[in-house]
Amino acid sequence: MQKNRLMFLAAALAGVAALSVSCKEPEPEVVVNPPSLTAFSFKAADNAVLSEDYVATVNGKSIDVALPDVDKSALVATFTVAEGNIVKVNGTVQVSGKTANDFSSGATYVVSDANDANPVSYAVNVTLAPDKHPALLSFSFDVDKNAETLSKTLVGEINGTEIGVAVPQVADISALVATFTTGAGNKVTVNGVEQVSGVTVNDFTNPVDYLITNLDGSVNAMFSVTLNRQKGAWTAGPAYAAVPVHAGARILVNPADDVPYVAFKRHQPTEADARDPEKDEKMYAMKLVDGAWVSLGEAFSEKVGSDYDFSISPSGTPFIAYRNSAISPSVTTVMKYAGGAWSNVGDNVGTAATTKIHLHAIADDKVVVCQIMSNKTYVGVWDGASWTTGGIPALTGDPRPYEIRMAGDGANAYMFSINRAKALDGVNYGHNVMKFNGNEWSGLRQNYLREGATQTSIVGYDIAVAPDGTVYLVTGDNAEDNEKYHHRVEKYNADGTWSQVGSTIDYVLSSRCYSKIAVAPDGTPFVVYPNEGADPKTIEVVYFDSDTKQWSAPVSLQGSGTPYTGDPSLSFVFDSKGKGYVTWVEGSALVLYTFE
Amino acid sequence: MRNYRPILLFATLLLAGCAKNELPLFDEPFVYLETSTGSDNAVVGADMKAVVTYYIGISCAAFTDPIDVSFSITCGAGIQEGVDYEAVTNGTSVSFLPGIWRMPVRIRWLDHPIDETKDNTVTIALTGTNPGTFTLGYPGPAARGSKLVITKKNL
Repeated sequence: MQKNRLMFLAAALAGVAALSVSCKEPEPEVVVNPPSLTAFSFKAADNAVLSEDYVATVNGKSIDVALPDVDKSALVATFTVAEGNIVKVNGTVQVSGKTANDFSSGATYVVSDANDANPVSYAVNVTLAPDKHPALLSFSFDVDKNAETLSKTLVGEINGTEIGVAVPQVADISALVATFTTGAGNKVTVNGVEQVSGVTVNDFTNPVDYLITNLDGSVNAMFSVTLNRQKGAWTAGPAYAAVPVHAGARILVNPADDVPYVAFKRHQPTEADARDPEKDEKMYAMKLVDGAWVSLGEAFSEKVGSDYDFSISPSGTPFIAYRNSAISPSVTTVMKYAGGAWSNVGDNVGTAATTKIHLHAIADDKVVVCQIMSNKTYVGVWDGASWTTGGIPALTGDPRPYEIRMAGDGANAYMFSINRAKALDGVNYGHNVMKFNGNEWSGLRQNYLREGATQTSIVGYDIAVAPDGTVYLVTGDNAEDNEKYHHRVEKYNADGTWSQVGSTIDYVLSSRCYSKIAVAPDGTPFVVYPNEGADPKTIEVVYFDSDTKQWSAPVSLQGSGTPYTGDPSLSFVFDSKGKGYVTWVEGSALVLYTFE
Repeated sequence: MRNYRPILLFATLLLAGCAKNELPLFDEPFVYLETSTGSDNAVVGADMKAVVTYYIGISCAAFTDPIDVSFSITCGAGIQEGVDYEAVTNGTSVSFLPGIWRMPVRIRWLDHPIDETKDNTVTIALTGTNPGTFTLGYPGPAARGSKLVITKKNL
């Protein structure tokens, strides 16, 4: 009986167990994918050194990819493998789009199945991709490769596909060895002759065209190298930022000590807490002595309005004229620096608000102020004791002026002015050059518009007087190029005629082109202008080459890498020895470049 | 560093005489002459002694085979080659390789006074292309840029 019970119990348990087993889910079959890598790429998003994605070709166990000439020591690959596959490089598990590896000499990706078994090696072969933008990356004439010709290395300035190299006036350029760099894999040729950097000799008498061809010949580029004879070189001088400088700072050389002087209006900062109500918008003056700016007065004027100018008499007395915004109407106040202090010169000049204020001091500290008042040209002449004011009788028709500039020498003051549109006889922005000889005015040119031009440009004009007394004028017009305005320099001859200096300057005027002209002691005219069309924007200088009778190639004062963003009201002057000074305002600091 | 020319230059110039205020699209390949500032005429001083670079440009889709452009240099009755100017660029054609959109044509100007009463022009004119599918000058009746006229003057 007991035995039967036990058998019954065993049978019942077996039945329950059997029933239990029959109710369970069947165990899933574990699928182990064989190792397989099907896609491989380098994405720009994962690799800062790449500018675009590069997709490899996977061919069997070979992964081939062409990359540009970049640092390959830490590239992140994106890859696709079969589900569950384990990928390792040198034993390190790889995460697609995450893990960096050194591909300088390629790499081996080992792909295993989910059990980390059955490894398959894929060889990543990295080759050089053809340069999509072949270029000359640097260009120079190194002194050690041209020891018989050059005394120093000449570095080319690359601007687009044009390379300019400033060379000394006397250098023999018929056989020079260039040192250059280009992208990896590129071939460089000149007239079909392959060039070797630092080895190949070329004649640079005429511009030389360098053809850059990439690895597979699919893209080419031509870089033209032009050597520009230069009389000297521009270098950055000491900037001034002790106080904020407002636009329109002017530099002049004092004839008495041949030292550059600068007068400027202190800029009022935008931030209220940075302002100084006692000093903001008032005049400052200083001079450059042994490379340092020395003050000649701080905030010595009343509040200065929109216009001011600066002049130094032949005897060395500095004068300023400014729109006095502390009074109403805002007429012109003239001050002079004598005995270590600034003081007003007589009464104010004008009976109504004045604008476009300019002045020039001639012999005996006689001062001529030209400005616009009540839509007319209004002049004041200080004879040492009082002002004589009024219009210019010799200015025919007394047209409504748009803008005024002044220049002069010890004996004469000259006023250049542009009339308003069709202000006289229907002439569109005609311009005038008037001369004051200390006693009376005469016209050298009046209401003039170049034949074929739509108008005289209302930007890009200036007047200067050479040390020999010759008057130079730079203006802009579209007489020869209907769509664009170009600079034209003219000079006034002893026989009473005007003649053009060379062709128009190879530059298209922009809306902020406040150019300046200065004449070196040897009679060479220079023009400085902001090249707003360049990328990056630069301040450029050209001069008239008396040998070629052509304007020189422009020289960028800041070099090719420093953009110009500041005040376009340049100032330009030479001292008696031929050292040139250019200033402008960049971020409320006075920037100085010198030429010698 | 990159060539400033786009792969296909769709110049959008407002043509004189266009009845509507629409900007025409130049979608046909063309070749043109210009100065370094983009003009189709220039003045040089009679006393100039310098090499000046002028340019032939092409506007078309990206290409893989070279494009040859031929040109001529002629002068008016007041000008003599070898006396007033010399062609620095050898030959009368330039070849554009893939990736190049502008090629130089250079003239050396010689110091020689001119007779103002005569024709003192030097004209660089486009004469043909290979392949011949390019319009000479900008599309349009004026064919601007099909020639570049340089006038020598006693400045």
